[in-house]
Amino acid sequence: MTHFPKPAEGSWTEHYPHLGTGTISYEDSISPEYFELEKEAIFKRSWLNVGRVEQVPKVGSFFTREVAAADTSVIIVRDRDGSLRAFHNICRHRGNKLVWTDYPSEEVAGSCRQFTCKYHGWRYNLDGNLNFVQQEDEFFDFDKADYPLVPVHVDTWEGFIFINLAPEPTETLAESLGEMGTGLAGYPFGEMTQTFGYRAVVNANWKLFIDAFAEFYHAPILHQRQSVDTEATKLAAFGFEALHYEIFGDSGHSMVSTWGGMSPPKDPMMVKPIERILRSGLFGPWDKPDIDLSQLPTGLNPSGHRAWGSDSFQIFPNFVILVWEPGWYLTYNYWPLAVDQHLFEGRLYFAPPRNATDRVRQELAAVTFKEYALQDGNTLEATQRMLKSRVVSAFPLCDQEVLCRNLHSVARSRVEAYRTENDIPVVLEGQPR
Amino acid sequence: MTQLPEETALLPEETALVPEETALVPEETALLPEETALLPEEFADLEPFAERWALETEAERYAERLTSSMDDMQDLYDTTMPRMEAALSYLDTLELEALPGEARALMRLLFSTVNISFPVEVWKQPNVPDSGAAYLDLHDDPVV
Ligand code: FES
Ligand SMILES: [Fe+2]
Repeated sequence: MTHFPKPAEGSWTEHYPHLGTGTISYEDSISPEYFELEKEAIFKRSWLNVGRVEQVPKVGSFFTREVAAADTSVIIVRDRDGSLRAFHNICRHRGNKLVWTDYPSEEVAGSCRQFTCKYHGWRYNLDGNLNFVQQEDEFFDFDKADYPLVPVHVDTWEGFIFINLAPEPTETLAESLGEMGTGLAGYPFGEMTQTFGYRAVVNANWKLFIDAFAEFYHAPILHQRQSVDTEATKLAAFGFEALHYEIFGDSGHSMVSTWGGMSPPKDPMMVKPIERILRSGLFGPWDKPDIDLSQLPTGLNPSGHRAWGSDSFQIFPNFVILVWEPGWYLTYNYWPLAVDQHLFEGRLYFAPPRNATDRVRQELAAVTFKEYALQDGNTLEATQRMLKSRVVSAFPLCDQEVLCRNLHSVARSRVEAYRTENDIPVVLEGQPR
Repeated sequence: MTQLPEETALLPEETALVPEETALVPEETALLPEETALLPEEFADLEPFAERWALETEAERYAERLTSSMDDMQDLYDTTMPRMEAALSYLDTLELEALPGEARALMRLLFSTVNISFPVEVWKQPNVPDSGAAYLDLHDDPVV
């Protein structure tokens, strides 16, 4: 039964006819050869979110990001002139990793005046220029100006920092974000500076976790035992329907808008006792923070529904922003490590707590998020294991899974374009939808 | 009937312990208010839980939960939940950025109560159903 209106075509999926309505194959999530092409075609040339400007507040603030899917590590730093810069994290002398502490594979963050290589002490300014070489006169035909750090394209949108590892990106960050970016601009992301950061290595292809968070069809079932019993039965019987889906052209970006009138719930007995006492839960603290949310950007709640609860924006390839009606947001980043493994990062952003009550409410939201995500993550491992058997190769997707369809379709198109351009033999049979 | 002598035999031993214990009481009492109490005086009833559960990070609280029995968590829950509102009213009078040590411990005890609420209220087991060996580290949480 349909509770919310669908497009004139009769379904969200048919509203985007290029997606088709047929079964899909998950070969793109188990083929190691295809994964190698994804690294080249997608991760080495798309704008990738690596953090927020609050992480680099002053001159010399820096952090590193391991980008396994592009076989590199990147330094992001605030330069003396206040601008952001990014460099491959490699010393020009003999290739040592420039910035790291204790464990070469781990990310670090901090603040410094210049970068000094641990190996032979070469030093680089924050703008990447080499400024000191140990025993410089021992080198041959040598000019320090010839050996700056290798730059990486970096830009920001609404305080989110993105890098692009292509030598010359085919589009700017603003162009890449397009209509989705302008629709979301102006949301007070920068005022929500109280964060909780989660991290886990998940033994599943990176696209499978994006799929899991891009559809809520699973929510009443997989998370059934998270709710009080009567409520769980009701939710399962109702199923899930989104208020709205949007696919932004061939950008790869998409969004799903969801009802979620549980803040506060109509019937307090719907939720667990601690949620009633603290007025908080999975959907965050029920009461809004002291941040002006009266004028929401046009991209939020596109259907203008009264029961609007949250909007989840899938930003191609591996970044998600989820904005909650009560005034907080979440981000997810999915960093591929292998065809069947990725690093999942989740971060919750709240307004700074005014008092202990605010802080405890945030704790409940943060802990609840973790319980749900643990179930999601473990289920993906179960999926990955069986997809690998190749016993089944055609999977039906319903209308509430339209964004999963889009993600696999766009990723496949990018890979096919790259493959054709570079005369690489076919890896996956069939045409991308 | 045959047990009687045995029980009777135990009595003198136990009685013998009493003076020793009594001897300890003045010392402990002297220490309690100033040095061993972790929580504000008003919340002395929660004190028995403080050492084990007033933990600094979510990682520590979650680890404690995973190795705890349901009985222990139920105990914590039954004791702290009725005091939640009083504890928050008390803490809200203080500046969050500059909580004194005992207030901070109280806050952390509330965090632990939050952490064990799903096991106690819903699952009747320490970890979320079907999560197996999955983990999700809260590697970066606000310090209180
Ligand atoms: S490798 Fe960096 S100074 Fe030699
Ligand atoms: Fe889920």
